[in-house]
Amino acid sequence: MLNEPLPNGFDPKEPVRLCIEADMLPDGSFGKEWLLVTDTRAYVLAQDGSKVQPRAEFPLAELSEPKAEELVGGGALRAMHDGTELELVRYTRARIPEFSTAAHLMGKWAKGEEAEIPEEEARRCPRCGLPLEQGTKVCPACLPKSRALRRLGVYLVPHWKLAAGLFLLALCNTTLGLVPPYLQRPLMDSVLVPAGVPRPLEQRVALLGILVLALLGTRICSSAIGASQGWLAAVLGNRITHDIRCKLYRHLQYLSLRFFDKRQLGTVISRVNQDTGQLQGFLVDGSQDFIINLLMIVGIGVMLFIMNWRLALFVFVPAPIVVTFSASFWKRIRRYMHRFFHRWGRLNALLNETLTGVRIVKAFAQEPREIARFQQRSADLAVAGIQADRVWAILSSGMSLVIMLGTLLVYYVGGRYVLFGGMTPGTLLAFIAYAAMFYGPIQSMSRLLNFASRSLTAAERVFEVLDSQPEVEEAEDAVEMPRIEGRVEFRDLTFGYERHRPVLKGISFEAQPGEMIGLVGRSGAGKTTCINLLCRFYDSDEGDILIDGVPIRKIRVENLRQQIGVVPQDTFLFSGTIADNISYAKPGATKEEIVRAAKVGNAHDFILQRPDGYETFLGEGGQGISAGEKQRLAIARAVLHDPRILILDEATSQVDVETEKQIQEGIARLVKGRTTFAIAHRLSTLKNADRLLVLKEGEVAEQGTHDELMEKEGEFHRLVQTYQEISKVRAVER
Amino acid sequence: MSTTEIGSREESLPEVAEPSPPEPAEAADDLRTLDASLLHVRRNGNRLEIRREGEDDWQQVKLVRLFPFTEPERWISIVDKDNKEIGILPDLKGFSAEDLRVLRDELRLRYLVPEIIHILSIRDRVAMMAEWTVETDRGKAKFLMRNLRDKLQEPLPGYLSLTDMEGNRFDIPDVAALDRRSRRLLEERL
Repeated sequence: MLNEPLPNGFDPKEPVRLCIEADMLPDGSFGKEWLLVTDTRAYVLAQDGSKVQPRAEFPLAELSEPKAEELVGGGALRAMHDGTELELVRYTRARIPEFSTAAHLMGKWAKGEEAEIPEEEARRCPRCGLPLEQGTKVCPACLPKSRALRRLGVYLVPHWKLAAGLFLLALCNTTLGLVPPYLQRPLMDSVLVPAGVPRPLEQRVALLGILVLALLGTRICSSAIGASQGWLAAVLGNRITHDIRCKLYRHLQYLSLRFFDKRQLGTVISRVNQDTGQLQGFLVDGSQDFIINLLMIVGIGVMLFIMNWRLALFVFVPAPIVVTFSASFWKRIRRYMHRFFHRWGRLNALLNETLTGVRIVKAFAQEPREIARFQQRSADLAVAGIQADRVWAILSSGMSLVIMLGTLLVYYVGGRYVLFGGMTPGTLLAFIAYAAMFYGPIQSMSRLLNFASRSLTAAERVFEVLDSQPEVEEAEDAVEMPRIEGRVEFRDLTFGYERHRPVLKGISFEAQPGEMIGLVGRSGAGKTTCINLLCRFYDSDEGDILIDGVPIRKIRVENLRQQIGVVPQDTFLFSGTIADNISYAKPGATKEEIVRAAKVGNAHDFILQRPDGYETFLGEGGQGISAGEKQRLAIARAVLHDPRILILDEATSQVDVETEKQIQEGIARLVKGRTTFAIAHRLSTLKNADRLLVLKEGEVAEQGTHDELMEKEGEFHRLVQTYQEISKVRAVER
Repeated sequence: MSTTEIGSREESLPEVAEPSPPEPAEAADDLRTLDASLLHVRRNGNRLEIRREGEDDWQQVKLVRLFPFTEPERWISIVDKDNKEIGILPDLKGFSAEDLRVLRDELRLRYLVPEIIHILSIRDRVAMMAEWTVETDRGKAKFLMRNLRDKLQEPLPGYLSLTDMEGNRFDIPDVAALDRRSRRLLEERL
């Protein structure tokens, strides 16, 4: 954090602007130091015994060019002082963001400029101080489980009838489950070994028949109820998770790109898949078991006490042992099962990888190596499987033994009751049956509690995504712009994906309607970032983009996106037919429109070569189609979209001369009459552009026509020369 | 192996020998390997500087390990301030004891990933987190791990690299070299 409390025993006697704890010493070993910046001075504080003392102290104005240098696994904050470079503090990787921000701020303050301390992304739980996992603000340790539960409850409301029915069924089922042992008592005491004067034999036989029928009846009932209960629970659980999953997906679709930048795609996918899956597992099976078990424990407990409360106490004695034993049982089993599934996953990954790359394996004759790798992983899996089963076998037998001990206790104590009078054998039998039933739910309770807590964490993670607001939001007073003329102005545009590292530094530029602007610059100069802001995937930090004189933030997002078209560098094709892919931006397009667009994009000729024509199915990511064909489909897609402002991110991939010519033709037809921004890699595009904007390190280095810039012999001239040299090499290679 | 194959191999041998092989000097030149005995190093403030034998200028440089896991002290690239490579040191042998100390210090200051020597304890904390207490080459450290398997990489067999919840890395260069207790604690979690 940028404003940690001051270490004890040091008083700078001035307002403190920054105080950051560094977790390494100058020699690279672990230890504590502090960087402290006050209104006029900067200190490095070090621990000296139990005291904290300044190790170095400088007037802030004398420190110039402070920078946070990234090293492997950590970093160092350095600055110039009196012409020599000083190292202020060292820190581990976890602190890099803080010190990068600090370097930025100190640079501004040293020059006397104003700079606000930006809001930090919380990386530790504000309540308990434990670190948060990347990309989440939910602290798994102090998550209020009740809140997640309440929110889940909201999803239950539309299905309340189903839920109530389910609860009733569970209640019935539990009650029915208590009947059979109860019937064992008359079976024993009145039919099989009656105490005192026995009834006539016929009566006993009739009673036997009645009791067996009653047992059969309860079994049938409880089976029927169990079946419908499982079915209802599945309906309810699936419906609720379906609701949540769809809500989550809808929310994801409308979230800003920044959300996705900050997270790995894998974690986002696992939110949708795994977290809702976990939730579903619990809602369908877990919650139901949970309720039944709870009812069972209460029901059996009550029965036991009613039958013989003293003996019931003996049943409860081993209960704590069972609870603790089963808790550690599940923990250990889970560890082994995890290991088993993890290795399984690794084996699958290897299989997938090598079979996908089988050409390469064969080309380099590495089959034996791959076979050996597979054998190794398979053996690992086998070992894990054996271990898991061994532990399972041992522990589960141990568990039954513990439970058995409890029952044996009841046998002994209850047996004495029977021998010395005070209890009938039938009661004892029923009692023993109940006691045996009692431990089952108790031991699964600890597993279910764990399951519940993990599921609530999953729920909380899902809710976290649902709670995050899209950053690019439509302004309340957004204006309708049904037809954009195409005048685009960048006004002092400043932006960084991370606020403390600006990528664009005050870009100003104006494009007239119908003009074609070529964006030129080295990679990392900010070309793509300009485009991202123009599409309003992100909002600028400072400055603005104006379209037809209206700030981009004030234009209805729908209007804007409908009239901006992108031909991206790497065309993404969805699985579907060619026609589907061309009409992606205009789902209702007629056949005629699609063919016309394909013709303009020079895609028609290769499409008609395919046996299925426009209905040729493209696999995921457009398998079975060449790079040049992909580009032409992208152009056709943009033609059909018919945007007022066109963004062209030229593909760098090389295609043959004939294809190249066809692509160029398509592009030439596409750009006509539209304001076009082209990230240009080809000389021909550069020459066709009305004007060029040369970017360098986030600033406009030069602008003008191709010829003007060539004459000027500046940055652009240099870029073109390098380019020509490369082209020569390529020409030779061909 | 069949006799014909052996025969064809014997035949082909002189053919390979005939055209003159590429000069090894040229290949070495491509790599721009540096000779330790012709270099001098010194520390200036917090920067490393080198000077070639026979030259007067000291140049500020950085050291980059090309194979940080397997060869921490060999195959070290020397780059200048702008990250352009000056050359590669195949070995640190040949430097004077003093120079060697300076180079090792520099490597230790550039590569800040601690190496775990002993695992003192791994304790379960709330919410499936585990608190690791370890002894490293940079002192004792305590860190929190969650979802160990996702955060554990094995770049080489026996070389483990952990990333804790805060994003810090901890390496175990050779699992087999750990003491028994540490190994047992580790294996329980893997």
